[in-house]
Amino acid sequence: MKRNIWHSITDIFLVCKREFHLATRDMGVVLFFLALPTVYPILYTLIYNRELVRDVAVVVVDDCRSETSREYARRLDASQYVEITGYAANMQEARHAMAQKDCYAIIHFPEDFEECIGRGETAHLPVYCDMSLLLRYKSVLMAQTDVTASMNVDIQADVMQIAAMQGLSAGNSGIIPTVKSTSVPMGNTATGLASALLPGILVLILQQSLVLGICMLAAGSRERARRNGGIDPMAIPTTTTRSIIGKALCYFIIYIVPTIYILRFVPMFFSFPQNGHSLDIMIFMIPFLLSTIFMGMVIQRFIHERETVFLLFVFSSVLFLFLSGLSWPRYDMSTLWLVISGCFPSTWAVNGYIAMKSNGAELWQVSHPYAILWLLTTAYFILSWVITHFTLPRTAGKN
Amino acid sequence: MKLLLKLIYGSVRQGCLYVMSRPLFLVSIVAIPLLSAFLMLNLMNEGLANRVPAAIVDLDGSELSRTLAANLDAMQTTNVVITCSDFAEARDAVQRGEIIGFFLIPENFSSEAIAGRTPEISYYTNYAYIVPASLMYKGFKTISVLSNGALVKATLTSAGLPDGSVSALLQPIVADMHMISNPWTNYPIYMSNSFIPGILALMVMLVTVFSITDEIKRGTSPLWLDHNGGSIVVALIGRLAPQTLLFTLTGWIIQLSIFGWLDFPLHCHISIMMVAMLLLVLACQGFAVLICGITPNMRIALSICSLISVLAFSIGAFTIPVEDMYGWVGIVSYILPIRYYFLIYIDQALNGISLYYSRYYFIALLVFVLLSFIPLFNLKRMCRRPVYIP
Repeated sequence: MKRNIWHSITDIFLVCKREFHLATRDMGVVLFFLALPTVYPILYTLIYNRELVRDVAVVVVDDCRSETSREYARRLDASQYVEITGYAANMQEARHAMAQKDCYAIIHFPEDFEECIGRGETAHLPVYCDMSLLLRYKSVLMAQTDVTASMNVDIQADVMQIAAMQGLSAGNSGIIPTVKSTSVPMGNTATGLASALLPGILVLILQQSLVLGICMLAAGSRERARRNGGIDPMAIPTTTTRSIIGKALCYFIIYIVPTIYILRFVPMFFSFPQNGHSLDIMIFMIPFLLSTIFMGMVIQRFIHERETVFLLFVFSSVLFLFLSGLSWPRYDMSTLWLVISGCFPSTWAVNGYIAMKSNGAELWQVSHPYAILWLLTTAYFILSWVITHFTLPRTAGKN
Repeated sequence: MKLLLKLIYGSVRQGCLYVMSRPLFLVSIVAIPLLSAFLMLNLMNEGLANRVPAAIVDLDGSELSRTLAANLDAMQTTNVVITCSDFAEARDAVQRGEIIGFFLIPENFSSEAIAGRTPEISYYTNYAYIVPASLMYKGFKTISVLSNGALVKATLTSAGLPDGSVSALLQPIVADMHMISNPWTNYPIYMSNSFIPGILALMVMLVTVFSITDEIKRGTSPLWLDHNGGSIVVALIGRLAPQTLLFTLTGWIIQLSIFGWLDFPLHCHISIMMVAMLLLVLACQGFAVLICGITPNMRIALSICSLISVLAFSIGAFTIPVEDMYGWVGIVSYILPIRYYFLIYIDQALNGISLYYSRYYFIALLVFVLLSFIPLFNLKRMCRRPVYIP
């Protein structure tokens, strides 16, 4: 019994050592395991790092030519979200500018704009917004809402003054009851796109690079086996269980450093939300890495050649991003997609990591995804064992 | 001339056999793009991610605050799933991911409002999930503005101001937002016309690189050249033409389901978008041949194409405008074929403006095809002396 345990441990150690040797000497795998997790987060951040869409070009058609319309345009120009790039003589000209992509919104002051306000009627102000990108529309909307509100307050103040002079001040006390409201952004206090998307993408990069590397290593072994009459000369002859555990241990050890770098330091470099305890996060990531490793060992079954992994797996990054609920909320998915997305470690890890890193949750608050990640680890381990044991060519001298 | 045609015919026949030789190609060319399209279109079936799960923390418990809470639940954008007794409980629910945000009505809210002491409602939104958070913000904001308006209106009317002028006084200026071509601010419209063709473009590049460098990897490239009369151009036409056809057909099926079946905005003739799809496939193949010409190593060429295509989802400016990226990052978006397809889609299908405004985008796609001829001499040289570096 004791001897058997000792045998297992040495076998696992040998498999782990051999796998480490193979991984570090294969440029393709080194690229996946080290270069990809190092470089990708930085590239992504550089793309999104400006966070907000500022100074969207707007053209004004001013048929009113009054003080109020000019004041409105001035305030709009002063907003950080839009910039007035020009005045057009009429709508025709403005539409041409929009088609040329010289502007993305048109503000049209009608002739009776100021008159309406003066008469105490509501003045309507048409804004035409190009919808090619939702973020641009959002900026135009924010600027327009802010400026309209501030203009309205000023107009109201003027009118109230007149009303007070006429003895119509509200009630006898002169008090207008008002309610103030404040919006408090949580998690991503900058409300920026980078701080919202990047934490999830970071987790996905870990999963994808790990699976790509594992598949390439396994396909390399198959190619060697094909050249060698069905036996991979580099494989350590041992049982399926020991071989799987040994390899998993190797990948796990290799991924400790990239995981800490990506989840701890990249957010620090680019000042993304950094709440939660680092230790909690690392404990949470243990079942994530393990389940991803075993999932990789299942997927590798379908990869017969080193390079086919590019064709069969790279595209899935986009789908995993959607399934994780980061860009399309999970509460709005149908049961089918909830179940399918639940089968992938990234879904739970992305949401758990965001809860901790952005919203400052502690480990016990993410116990649900944590437990599921352990469940996935077990399920994928069993699946990979079955697949390896029953379908892969046996190694030399296997008993 | 006749000889050349015969050569090309033979080459294309070989190319067809090559595509059929392994299930890998049919999976990559047809199954993966179609399955991805199905996933994304079906996932975002609802259009807008309405009914964002929210909570209410009502510390006041008065009639006014209960009306507010009821109004909030009646909003289309929010769905009040829990009522919390205090702030800590609501925050815990946010951290657990059960709700996206909550609305906090302070103690003595009603009495302070009536006494004119301006109480403060606060709404907390979890911007870590930016799409539902933005929606929820809109709902919360509307409710607080409306409640304020109702209070002011009641007071002013009781003070003797005529009803009509009170309404005008509340909102002297109303901006009417006209959202051109997408008045529903429907999000899947963009996603399906950028991400799905994006996946197709990714697969075109990878399959093209794979099927060219495959010969070099196996060391059969000199034979491949000899079969095609020693012409790399004929060899490439034969290898890639069947794939062009299959990819374009897949792309058209996707377009038909987006514009026909789902009825997403299409303000131009469908043939324009179909031509754009064909050009996208050709441009991506041209791009891939260019990469193969520069580095005929299979793994490196595939890595470069994967890197570029995956980054294209972010850098192609489907979500953030190019002018808001760092200048040197923004420039990269102009070397991506998918970017031009997206611009054609915006101009033609979404906005329906004259073809004249999109002329450069069509030319840009053609330029990618022409560019692929430049490094062909290098590719031919490497085909003559194939070296495989794992």
